[in-house]
Amino acid sequence: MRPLDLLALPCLIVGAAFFLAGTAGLLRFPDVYARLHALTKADNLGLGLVALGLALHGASWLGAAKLLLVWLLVILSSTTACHLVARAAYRMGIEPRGRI
Amino acid sequence: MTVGIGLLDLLLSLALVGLAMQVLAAREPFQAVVFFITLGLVMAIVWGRLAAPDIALAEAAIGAGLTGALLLNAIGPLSRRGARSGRNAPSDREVQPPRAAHKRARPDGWPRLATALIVVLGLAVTAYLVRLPTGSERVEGASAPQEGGERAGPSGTMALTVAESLSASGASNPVTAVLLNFRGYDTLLEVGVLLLAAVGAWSVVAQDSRHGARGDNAAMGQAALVEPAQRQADRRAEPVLTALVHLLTPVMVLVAAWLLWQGAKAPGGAFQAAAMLCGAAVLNRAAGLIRPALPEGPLMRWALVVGPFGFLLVGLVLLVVGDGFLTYPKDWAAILILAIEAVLTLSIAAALFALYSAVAPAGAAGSAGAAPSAARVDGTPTAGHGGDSTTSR
Repeated sequence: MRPLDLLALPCLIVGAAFFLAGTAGLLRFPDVYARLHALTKADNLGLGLVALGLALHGASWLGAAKLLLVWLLVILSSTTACHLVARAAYRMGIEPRGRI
Repeated sequence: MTVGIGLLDLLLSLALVGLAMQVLAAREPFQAVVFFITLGLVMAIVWGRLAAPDIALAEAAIGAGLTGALLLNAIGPLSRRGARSGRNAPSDREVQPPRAAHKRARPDGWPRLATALIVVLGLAVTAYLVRLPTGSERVEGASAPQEGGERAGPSGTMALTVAESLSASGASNPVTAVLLNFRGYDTLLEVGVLLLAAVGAWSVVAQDSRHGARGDNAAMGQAALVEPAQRQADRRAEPVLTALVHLLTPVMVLVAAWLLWQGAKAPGGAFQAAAMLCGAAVLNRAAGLIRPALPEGPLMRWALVVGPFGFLLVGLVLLVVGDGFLTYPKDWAAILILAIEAVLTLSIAAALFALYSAVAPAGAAGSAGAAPSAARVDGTPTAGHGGDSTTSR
């Protein structure tokens, strides 16, 4: 399991770093649309890396398949949610605000 | 899974307390609801840490998911009324004045008294829990609770009693055995309470819907659950949500059926499967693909009733023919539990969806975004600004 763990650890760390980046974007970006970018893109990629790291660490094919399924479902639902939020914001008349 | 205190548990406890405080201290109802949903999610993780996956599933689906949706739909009318009465949404700098404007006349000492009472109660509960012996200390053989069902140290000898009787109960998951067999009467009453809640919610909403734009309901007394095509086209098209719903509904129904089947031997069961089914129904409702569950038409009424009725019927038959009310004969226990859970799933899902339909605004396709879209009614730039500032905090 050791060589797989050596692969899993960087995945987990980089995944956590992506989540951190997404949260920083949520706090610092100027308007709704930019924050949605940060949330969905960075967080989904972070989740993918974390899932990959866990799959490498767990070393069971069934567990890895479940983690992959979790990642796919989260991608589906979060992109739909992002689309709905952006649409609602657009209909409310929120203009994109430009520079950070 | 052991119940030792680790860094993760400490962080989770701090997160729970912090989120609860944020729910109470939030400036706007929408923020409070978002924090509440997050609190439900963290609570589900905590249940997982406490080796209670059944409760974790139910908490995530019902506590965080469905209650969050209910609250979001409930605060929609609140913000509409607030916007209409001329209250401006708080900007980034203005904190005190809106809150002061809303403070009801209340004697001054109450908040401090309440806080003191809560702190004292919390300390008392903590002191009691810390001194309580875990299951492994009370029982002679320290390995006994482990072999029963991998549930970590609940206090007292009840875990041992359940573990001993598990083989005769008809289910190898101790939670299902307790819910459906040892304490089946309590579950029957629980489902009865849910039925009452659904009826209560319907009796509140039925008046509104008959007066409102949905007068077509009375004309379509026996209508099917699916919207006719022309009405579907009339609503605001939500293609992405509709596509997601088309994709996910079969998956959710399948997972619900699997959870129901699993309930006998692994975490799962009627409540979790019902929560999944209700989630699928809520998604379909949000996409505008099915009409809300109003009492017109026999489908919803039968769905609501079949669970408690079936449960009661089994109990009465056993009273007459068998050993007593809800005393399953040993050979039939597994089948009876599965059959009861199946009808219970249908009823609980129907009751939860009825609750959601009672709160959801009639005809709103995008009810998932109730709070931001409610501000649209006002149409002024301040409403947009208010929505923006909520997402910035």
